[in-house]
Amino acid sequence: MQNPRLTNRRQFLRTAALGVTGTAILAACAPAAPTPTAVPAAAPKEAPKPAAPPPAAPSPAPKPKQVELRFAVAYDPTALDFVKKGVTMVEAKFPQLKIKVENTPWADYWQKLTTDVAGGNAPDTILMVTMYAQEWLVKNVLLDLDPYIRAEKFDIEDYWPKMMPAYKDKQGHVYALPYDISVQTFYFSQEIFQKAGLPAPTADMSWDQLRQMAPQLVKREGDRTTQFAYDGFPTGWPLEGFLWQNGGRLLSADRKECLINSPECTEVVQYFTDLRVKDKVAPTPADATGVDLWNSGRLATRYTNSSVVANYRVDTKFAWDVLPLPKRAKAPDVRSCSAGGSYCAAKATKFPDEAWLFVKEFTSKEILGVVVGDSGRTVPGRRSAPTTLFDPTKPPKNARVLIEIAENAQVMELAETPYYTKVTKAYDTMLGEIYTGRKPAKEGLDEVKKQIDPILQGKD
Amino acid sequence: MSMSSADGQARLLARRGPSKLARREAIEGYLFVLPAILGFFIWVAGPMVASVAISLSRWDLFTPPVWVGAANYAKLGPDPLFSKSLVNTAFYTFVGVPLHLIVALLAAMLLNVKVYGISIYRTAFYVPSIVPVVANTLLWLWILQPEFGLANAVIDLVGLPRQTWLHDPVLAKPVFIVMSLWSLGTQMVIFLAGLQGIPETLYEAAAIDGAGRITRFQSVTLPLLSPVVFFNLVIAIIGSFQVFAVAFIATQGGPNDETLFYVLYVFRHGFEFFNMGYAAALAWVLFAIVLVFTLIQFAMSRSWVYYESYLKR
Repeated sequence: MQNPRLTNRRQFLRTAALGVTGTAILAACAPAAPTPTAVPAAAPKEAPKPAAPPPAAPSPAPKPKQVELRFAVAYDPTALDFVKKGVTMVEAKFPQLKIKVENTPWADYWQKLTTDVAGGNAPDTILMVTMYAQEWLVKNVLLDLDPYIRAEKFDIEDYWPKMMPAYKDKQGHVYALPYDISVQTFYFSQEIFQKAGLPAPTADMSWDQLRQMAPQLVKREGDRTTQFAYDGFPTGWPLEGFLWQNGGRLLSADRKECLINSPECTEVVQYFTDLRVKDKVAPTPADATGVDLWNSGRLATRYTNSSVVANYRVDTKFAWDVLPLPKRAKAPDVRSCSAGGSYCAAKATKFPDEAWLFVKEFTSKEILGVVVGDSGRTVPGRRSAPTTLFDPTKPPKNARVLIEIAENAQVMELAETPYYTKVTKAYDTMLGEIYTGRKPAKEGLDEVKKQIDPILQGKD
Repeated sequence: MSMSSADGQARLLARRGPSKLARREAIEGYLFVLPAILGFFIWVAGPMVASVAISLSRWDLFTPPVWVGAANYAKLGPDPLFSKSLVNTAFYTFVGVPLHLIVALLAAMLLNVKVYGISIYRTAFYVPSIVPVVANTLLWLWILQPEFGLANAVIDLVGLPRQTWLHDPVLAKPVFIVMSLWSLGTQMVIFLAGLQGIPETLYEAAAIDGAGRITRFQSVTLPLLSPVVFFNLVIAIIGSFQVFAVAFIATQGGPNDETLFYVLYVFRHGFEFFNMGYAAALAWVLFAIVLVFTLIQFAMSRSWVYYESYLKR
């Protein structure tokens, strides 16, 4: 008698084999993947011309072949809605484009992008930022947009010119077009100044004046500080603007040496350390952990990115306004450096013409007016793009200073090197130690210079 | 049947080879394990071999790798963060693991008593270990929040000075160790199973011989539980050398790199700086360290781990 167990196994294996064979046959019969459009050597090709209609029965012009572009972005849900609105507008204007938005939370975005690109699965168009653009550029990941710009005589003057160095290679070729510009902005609670009996700060205020009035803006209950005068300790990309204010530079002119331990830079770092450690008018990291000091009305002033205006309009329930950062005597005109986002195309895209068309269109005045302007998040990347930032019915009253700051803000010099991540990681860790008083400023900055110099010289 | 004719039959069978049924069963057996074998070679062995080559190269994931020989390994010595991350991880391992095992064993003993509703207690102790690490960490961040957190509220009650916990370079690592105790459920369950496998008769015999609770624990429980202790020790040391997620979520290695654990440092080089070659070299050093410690534990286990099967042989 046949063993039923064996029969079952055999039947199973036969069925499995049949299944695999069937799948293979079906796969072989499936239509081939769409072939990529031709890549121009230098200039973009013209749009396909419709065939001449037959004289007897004229038919409508053939629809251009639709191309699906993957568009990698990293937005919160609110911002994403505006992006999708912009995408719909582009698709309506250019029926040959079908845009697949691939949104990833910011915290995971760069790792996902890295994995996708390294795995040969690069999206066609990519959200980029000033800080990382050069790192991606030297990795040969981005499409050179210059041939298109030259061939179409495309005007890039409307984009904030001081942002562009971050998106250019050494030959001056452009690889990304900005969609917004962020600057460092001084926020203050009008309510706390009023209650303290102090006049509201003005654009002429200096950092020294802020320090003098700070004790009057602080409230304490026993050992606990319930209200702080100031928060905001320069790290990351904003650091450079603060150093420039005092006549210092983060990098030497050839970008090969770190100058963070110069007397001018040390003085700036010492100033902020003193606010926290000596004067005790600014919160420690522990004071600010898990607490929104600003929106809970426990913070009189702060510096942060201009992009938080949209959030403050919704979340901040007291009277507040914005100003440029306070001045320093050594460079009174310098108020901030700048950073921002942009869109670019992947070099590996199968559809470079369409990717360029999308990047160009998605950073047009009209689309930026919707994606950035209507969202009120930041200053749009084109100076001519309309924005709701200046809506007089909403705070801040001084919103126009954001434009003034942006006009004068240079992109940070570190964005012109491919070492942003490593350099900021090194100095941020050390600044964390200095700002909490665990390391003397001079000693810490001397140490960090030794770490950064080999990075800038490509030895690390 | 005489011996010679039996030998002849065996030789005949050997010449003929295995039966058709045996061959078929062998083929089926191999087919069934094939996915696992293929998975091992494709997803484990293959990448491991590749990572050796990567560790001898400079590679940023995008541009072709450049062969640099042992340069990545030579850079380890002068790299201050390599030694710091190693020291941080060693502290976490050699302070945390013994503490973890002791607490897990105590909890298992506590839950090994016969009281009404004991399964509810066991579940309650086990549940934290199946809570996702992100949720667990966020819960702890709330507990450790310096101003409103539960930890400082308790500290206030006993009149001790408030602490900044994860912001304090001295306290940060010990706090991570305490946080790890929250998820001792898996080891506790293994200890519990081990405790329940110890025959009651041995305790009774020891009691008749006049052994007290401590003597019974030392002379009966510990020796019979030693294989379980050994298993938990090996697994816990390997696991703690790989600590990553909590530090990645809670501190990102700060303050002052005091919680920069080794795997976090590997991750930083691999996926933040794109130094895949250096990251692979770091990973191989970790592999070597873990291997050495595991071998040492196996060598030392002969002197303190008691297997009943030894006596049967």
